[in-house]
Amino acid sequence: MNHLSAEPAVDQPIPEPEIMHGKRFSIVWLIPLLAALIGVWLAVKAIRETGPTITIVFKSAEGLVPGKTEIKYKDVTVGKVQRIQLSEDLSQVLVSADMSREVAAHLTGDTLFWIVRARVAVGEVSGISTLLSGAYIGMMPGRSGKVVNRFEGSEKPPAIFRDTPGRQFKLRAEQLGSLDIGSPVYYRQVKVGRVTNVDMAEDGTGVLLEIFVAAPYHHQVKRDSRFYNASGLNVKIGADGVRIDTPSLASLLVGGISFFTAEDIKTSAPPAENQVFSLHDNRDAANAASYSYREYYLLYFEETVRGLSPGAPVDFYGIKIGEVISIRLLFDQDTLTFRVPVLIAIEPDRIELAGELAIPEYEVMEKLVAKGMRAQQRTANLLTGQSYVSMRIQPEAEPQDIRTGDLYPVLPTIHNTVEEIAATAKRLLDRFNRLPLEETLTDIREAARQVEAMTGSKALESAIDNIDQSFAEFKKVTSDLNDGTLPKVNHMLDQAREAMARGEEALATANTVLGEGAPIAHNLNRLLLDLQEAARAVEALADYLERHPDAIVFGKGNPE
Amino acid sequence: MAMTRQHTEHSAARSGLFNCHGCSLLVRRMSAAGRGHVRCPRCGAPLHIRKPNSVVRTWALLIAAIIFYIPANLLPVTITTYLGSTQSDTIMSGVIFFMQTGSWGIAVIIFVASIVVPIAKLIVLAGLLLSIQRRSRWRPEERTFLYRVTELVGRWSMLDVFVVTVLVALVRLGYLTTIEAGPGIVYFAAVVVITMIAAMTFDPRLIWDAMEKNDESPVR
Repeated sequence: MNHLSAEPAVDQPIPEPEIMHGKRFSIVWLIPLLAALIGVWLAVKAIRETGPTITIVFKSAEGLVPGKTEIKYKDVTVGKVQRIQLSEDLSQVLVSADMSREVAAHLTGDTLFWIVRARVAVGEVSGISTLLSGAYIGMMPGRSGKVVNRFEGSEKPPAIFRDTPGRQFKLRAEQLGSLDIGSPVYYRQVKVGRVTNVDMAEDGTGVLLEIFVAAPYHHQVKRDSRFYNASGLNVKIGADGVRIDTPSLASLLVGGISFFTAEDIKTSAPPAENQVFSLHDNRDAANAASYSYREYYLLYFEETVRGLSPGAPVDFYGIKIGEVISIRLLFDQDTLTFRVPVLIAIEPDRIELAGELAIPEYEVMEKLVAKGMRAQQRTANLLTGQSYVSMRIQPEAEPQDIRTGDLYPVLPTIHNTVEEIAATAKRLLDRFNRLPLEETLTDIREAARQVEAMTGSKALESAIDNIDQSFAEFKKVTSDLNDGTLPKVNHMLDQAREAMARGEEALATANTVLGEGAPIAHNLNRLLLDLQEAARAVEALADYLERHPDAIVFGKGNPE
Repeated sequence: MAMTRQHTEHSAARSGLFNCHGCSLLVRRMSAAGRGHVRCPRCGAPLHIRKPNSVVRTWALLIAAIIFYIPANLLPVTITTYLGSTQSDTIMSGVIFFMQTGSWGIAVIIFVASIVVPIAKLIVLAGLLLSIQRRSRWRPEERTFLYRVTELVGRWSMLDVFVVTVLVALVRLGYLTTIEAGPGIVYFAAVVVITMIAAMTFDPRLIWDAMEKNDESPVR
């Protein structure tokens, strides 16, 4: 107010302001306070959400992008790849990822990581979303163990999630066929699981498959269940028409495994912990191969094994207990002798058990051999010459032991006693083959025809009919008969006798060849007997005619 | 020369007058007006010699802005889902992305609007406040100029917020591409708005008050 010179140019007196009393507190500080609260909240949230940083080792980082690739569990993002580096020896890729806090406690040593890329396989297309979004890393939280921060990643996703109830089984197959990881497993044509792993057996002699059968179907797998490769089509043309077997169209394309348990062993126990089932080529093979447990033995034959082939049965008391696996020929250079090692497999499960086993299982065979158990090659079929291996107990056999020097225990063998019998039978057959059977039969037929011609009712009847008409010439005829007809009859009789003799001869030969009981021989016998009878009748007739020539005219008179 | 002019000129405050902010009525200042609020007799608007509590308010807002500036830059502002792959971008990563893809112009615009300007504003306001509190007499004209620039360009920082808003609204191509606003943009908008308010609450006349060597300081 002192500075009048600075007074503005207003004429009126400048009005006094109204004075109000307000509160002193400045609420403006609430704004930074609020900001600070939000900031603190954000910071706390960020810190709380930050999980551990882990390193996953992969073979290749194909499709992985730092800062972008996510780690997902059940399609929920639980982490993000932050950095990708090469290992020091450049052989691996180290992927560093920030994991979220919620899975931190589950990052135990058995946690699985795998890269999910688009996978297109026949039968299933998976990870399509990764086609566009790029790969992500799948995660399967660990179950137990210590929390670690370095993991081995796999390139393939695990086929089965750990928390899926069910059970894993192992199969062994000769070949993989069209099976692959993910191939379905069927039970009664219902898809109950899939192949989870495929691996070569350590010794390279087969393929090991792991399958997973989901609950509740895994209870259907018994100790005696049989698995077979259900891939492809099984077409059978038989008397009952065409039968086509295939579990499903998908398995036709993709392949698959089916299993079944034979009806009579339904109640059998669940499979053993580490039981390895064998995977058969098809259902029939699986049916045939009921018994997966096999014991192998080696037999040395020192005689011909013609007729014996792999797959030939090994029987005991006439019941199949195994089969021949392989037959080789061995030349012993020391002794310059030949031997035939025959490998057989015996399936002990084919034999029912009773009582308790007092001795260890492996001693059973020793004891049996000591009791005279011997292997013998026998001919099963004389005509085809197929033979088999027969196990028999011959208490009188020379005592021998199982030899164990070879790869397999060697069972003692005995000579094929049937071989001689078979040879005789073969000779007999050969002779039978050489017999002039055709000619003999023709002869017999000829003889029979002649006999019939003679005894033929037509000629006789017509002759008798003529008698009535030519009664007038009766005398002449009777005289003629004495001179001419009788010798003719005699001649005829001779011929018949000859034929009969021949027939008898043939009959005798046939009898020796065929023996009794054979149907052909039997028929032949009957025919010849008939012939014999016929011939005998003819003989009697001729005899009678000779004594009573007039009988032709007057008929058979009373023998007085 | 500016200095000399200041000494010769008179402000309303020096003349013991209020200038009503609402109707520009000049009101005589009363000695009793030390405590409590005074109102314009004509329009009823509160009367102040200077913006009330200017330094404190500006400081408060400035501190709030600085706090918000941290999450604004650390949290993603856009979450882009492109063909199934999700990408979160902070302001800086967006700038780097544009730089890497060769869009230098856009990168510069975003960089300037979203990073340079807010930081400059925060620094300028803080500097001005400090200079006032220290009653600095150093280059008042330049400082006033800085303030004017700050107030002028402050609103342009909203560009980024608008860009995100428009993008979110426009880019909704379902599975192909979707852009969502990230939490960062909220804090960034808060920074921009709060600094704008801070610039408003700041009273540039305070710069000149220090020059007026007056014992009866108008600054409360």
